[in-house]
Amino acid sequence: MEALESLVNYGSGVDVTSADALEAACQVVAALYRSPGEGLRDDLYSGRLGAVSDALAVWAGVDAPRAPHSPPAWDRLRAAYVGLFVSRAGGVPAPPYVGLVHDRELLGPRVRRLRAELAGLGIRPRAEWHELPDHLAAVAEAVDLLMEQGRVAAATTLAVNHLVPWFDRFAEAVAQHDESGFYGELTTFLHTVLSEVAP
Amino acid sequence: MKLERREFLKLSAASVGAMMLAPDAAAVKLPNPLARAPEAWYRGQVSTVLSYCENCFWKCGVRAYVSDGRVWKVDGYAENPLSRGRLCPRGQGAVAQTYDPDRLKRPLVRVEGSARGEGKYREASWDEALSIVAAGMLSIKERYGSESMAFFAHGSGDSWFGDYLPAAWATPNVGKPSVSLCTSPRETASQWTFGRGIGSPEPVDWENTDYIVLIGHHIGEDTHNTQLQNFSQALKRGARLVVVDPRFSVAASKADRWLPIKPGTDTALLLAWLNVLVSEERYDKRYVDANTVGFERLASHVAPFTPEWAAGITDLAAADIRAVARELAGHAPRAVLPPGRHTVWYGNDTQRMRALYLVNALLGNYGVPGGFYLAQPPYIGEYPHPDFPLAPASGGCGGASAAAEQTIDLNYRQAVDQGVFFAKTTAIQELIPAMISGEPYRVAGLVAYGTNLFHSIPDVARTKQALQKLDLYVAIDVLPMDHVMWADVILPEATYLERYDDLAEVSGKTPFIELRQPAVEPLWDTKPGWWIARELGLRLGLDAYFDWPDIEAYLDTRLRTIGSSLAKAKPQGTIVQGGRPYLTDWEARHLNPFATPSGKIELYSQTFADAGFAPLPVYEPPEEPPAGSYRLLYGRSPVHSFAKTQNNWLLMEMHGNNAVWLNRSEARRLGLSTGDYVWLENEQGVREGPVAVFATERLRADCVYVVHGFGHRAPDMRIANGRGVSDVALMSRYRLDPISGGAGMHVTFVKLIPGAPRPRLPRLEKLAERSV
Repeated sequence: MEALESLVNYGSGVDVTSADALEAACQVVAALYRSPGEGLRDDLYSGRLGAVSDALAVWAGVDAPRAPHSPPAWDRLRAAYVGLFVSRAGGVPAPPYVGLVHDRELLGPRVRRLRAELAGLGIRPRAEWHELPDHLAAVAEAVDLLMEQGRVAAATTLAVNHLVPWFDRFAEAVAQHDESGFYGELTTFLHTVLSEVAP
Repeated sequence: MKLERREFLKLSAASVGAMMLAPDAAAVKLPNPLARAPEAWYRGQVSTVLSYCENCFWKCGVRAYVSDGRVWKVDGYAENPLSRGRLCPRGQGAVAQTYDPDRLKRPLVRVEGSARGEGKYREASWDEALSIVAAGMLSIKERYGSESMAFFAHGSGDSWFGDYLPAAWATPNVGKPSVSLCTSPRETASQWTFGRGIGSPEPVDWENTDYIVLIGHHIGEDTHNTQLQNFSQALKRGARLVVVDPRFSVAASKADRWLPIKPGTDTALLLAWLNVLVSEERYDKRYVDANTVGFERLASHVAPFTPEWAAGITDLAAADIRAVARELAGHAPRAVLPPGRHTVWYGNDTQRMRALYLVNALLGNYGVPGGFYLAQPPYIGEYPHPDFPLAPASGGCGGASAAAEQTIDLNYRQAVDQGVFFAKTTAIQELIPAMISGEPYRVAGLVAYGTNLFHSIPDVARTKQALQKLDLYVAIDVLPMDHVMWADVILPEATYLERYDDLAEVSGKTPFIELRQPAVEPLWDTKPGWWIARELGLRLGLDAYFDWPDIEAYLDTRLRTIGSSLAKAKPQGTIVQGGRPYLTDWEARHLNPFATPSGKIELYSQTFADAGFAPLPVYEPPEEPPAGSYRLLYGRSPVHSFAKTQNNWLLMEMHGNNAVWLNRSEARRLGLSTGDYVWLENEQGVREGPVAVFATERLRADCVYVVHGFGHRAPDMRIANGRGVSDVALMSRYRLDPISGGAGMHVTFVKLIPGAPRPRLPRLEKLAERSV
């Protein structure tokens, strides 16, 4: 049974592991911080994202975020994404890049190492991926993929080493600068969940 | 249930195989990267790529060091005449711009219903963004005519957006800040005195000069690499230096004589020097007879302008004025008064620059060793294309001159500045009123390429009003500067380390061609300017002008016209050609270098007379500051380029703020000390600050001084925000130079308002960490 289905059935006798929760959390992270497209729109307005968030909240024992159930208008959400993570007059408040936090620069040694580790795991970016390899959504996708393949240890190590250590600062920056209410609440929530599943 | 729709990941063939053979791959143990020290990039495989720099506009040849797909270091290379193996801090700091996380990353479209300046954008594909721009431009053309689109352009890529595309599209409304906000007076004056422009690099024969007079020319602060190298070498060789400046500048600190002139009176000083050279018969008679026209009229004109007359105007001693004139003559022709670059000061600037050139001419130094050499552009053919409907309007840094050469194309309307100025390039600031008033006709669209509208054009409020009136505003840039985030469509350009550009054709003693080539692939979804121009051109139906398949083919075709090729040029970087630097070289070939109407150096300009302007330089007294106010003067920092680099932490570590310089006696009178904070307030009530006071003897008492480029007011520009004051924000007006179209910007008066709080700003070193 897939992790998400386990999660949404959580509480009805289905056994949910930390690995399931991590996989699900990373799917949410990847969906949320990719450039908003039809996929996110569908997940959001169909209620799937809300259902998974609710399940993650139950699993983690915290309040479920309201944002997925009452999202802002699509254009407003896309504008919030750009203003937080892409371009803003004078500077991006929350650059979603793993290496930036550790190296204090883009494409520094940390990213070279991450790229080498991913290559060692047989993972490389698609040619049409117009983002950096250490983008938050990319790392989350990698964790998710490894989980799906049953490579739990590798996935967990990747998450623990590259995703979790800086998520607190990222969540704080998003919460501080988000005017839509959507990304701020969800990022704070995901920080709580990730702290539980990959401490 | 599944959320993921993977965009990033791709399983390699090896991985699939490994999965099939080793299903227990979960046992793979990753090392903890935090436990290992970073590897030094230079221990890996390093390749080098030759290009030319974009962090100022000197165009230094650079070598980029690349390892693992990233540029780690940039320096100069010896074979390039503009760097000679050395590079300034801005050039070396360029890497920080390429890897700036704040860069524009992909096309953005303003959210429908949001206002310009609100900063609300959504991402778009290139196809969608370019199609929106093309549809907007075609709509404007249909309703108002092609001339109703304006283009502003700055930087090397302006060849695409200031020349090629506007000419193919057919608009004369192309403005460059590097002309009417900078060099237009010196270029116009040179064109109509010598029949040749100045251009970049300035053709001063530093290697052979023995006596240098700088007038408001901040060498060492407006760092231009080899100009500074040459200047230093000249001083080391023993050349004497006189600096005329209200401020004891860095150059003044090296001078044999500092003349702290009253601001705005330089023309009086130059007229007095002309007077001494003529009345004491210290000019080069042979040179003047052979190469000039109008000497007798000049002699009569300057007769009243004695050093004693000038002394009362300039606050300089007549004896000093006379002494410098005699020393100049004593060293002629190896004595030179180089033109500065930013020459838009008081609105009568073409006349001042004419006076400066006339002193040089009487010294007999133009085209002579130790004075000015005769710069020539390199030869290289164009890529073949049909004739443009309108000739490119912007020209080079100085703007192709000049009014008499302008041809009126009856098929198109004149530029909205009516073509009245002698600088051919449309005066950029004069395009703004037409956007607001619709007179003489509507300018409804603007493409701004690399031009900081709010930190370069005076009267920012007027510029913002104009932007609100446009039907279409497109910004092409690397960073999300304030003005960029007003645009309807934002097109992100790759940095110079990631792209080709057109060839740089540099005039010089020995002219040369520089190749710009990418050292690495563009980050994110950014594109080179040539690609943006071409794709836009194709959507505008201008296919015939963009029939080259890619930039490599374009460059290769051009390079083959000189017997080279792209493959040959790549490892070479710079192709140097032969020149004819001195008059003797031209005379030997029976050629005349003076492309004036008379074919000689025009001491008296009949062309100006015919246009209703003074044919000989005339001194006009500057406006005096109101009581209690000071004239606002401004200059450059050697580690910053205009307002472009104040978010670069490498450079901000070296110069992280500006202060307002104030004469020490005035500071005492106002009860101020160094380190006190004040507000600056102009006559229109615009207030800037807080800014720290620097009380100094190095400045006259009637002016204050700040370094340009600081004073960003953008909370998210974490490094630049709130540091210092913006000079341009205080310029609510300018005084138009009616000859060149330059905007005189030394006409702002400010009061110092004490009691401003000390800004509470994060420490720069903390910000430099760039942590989330």
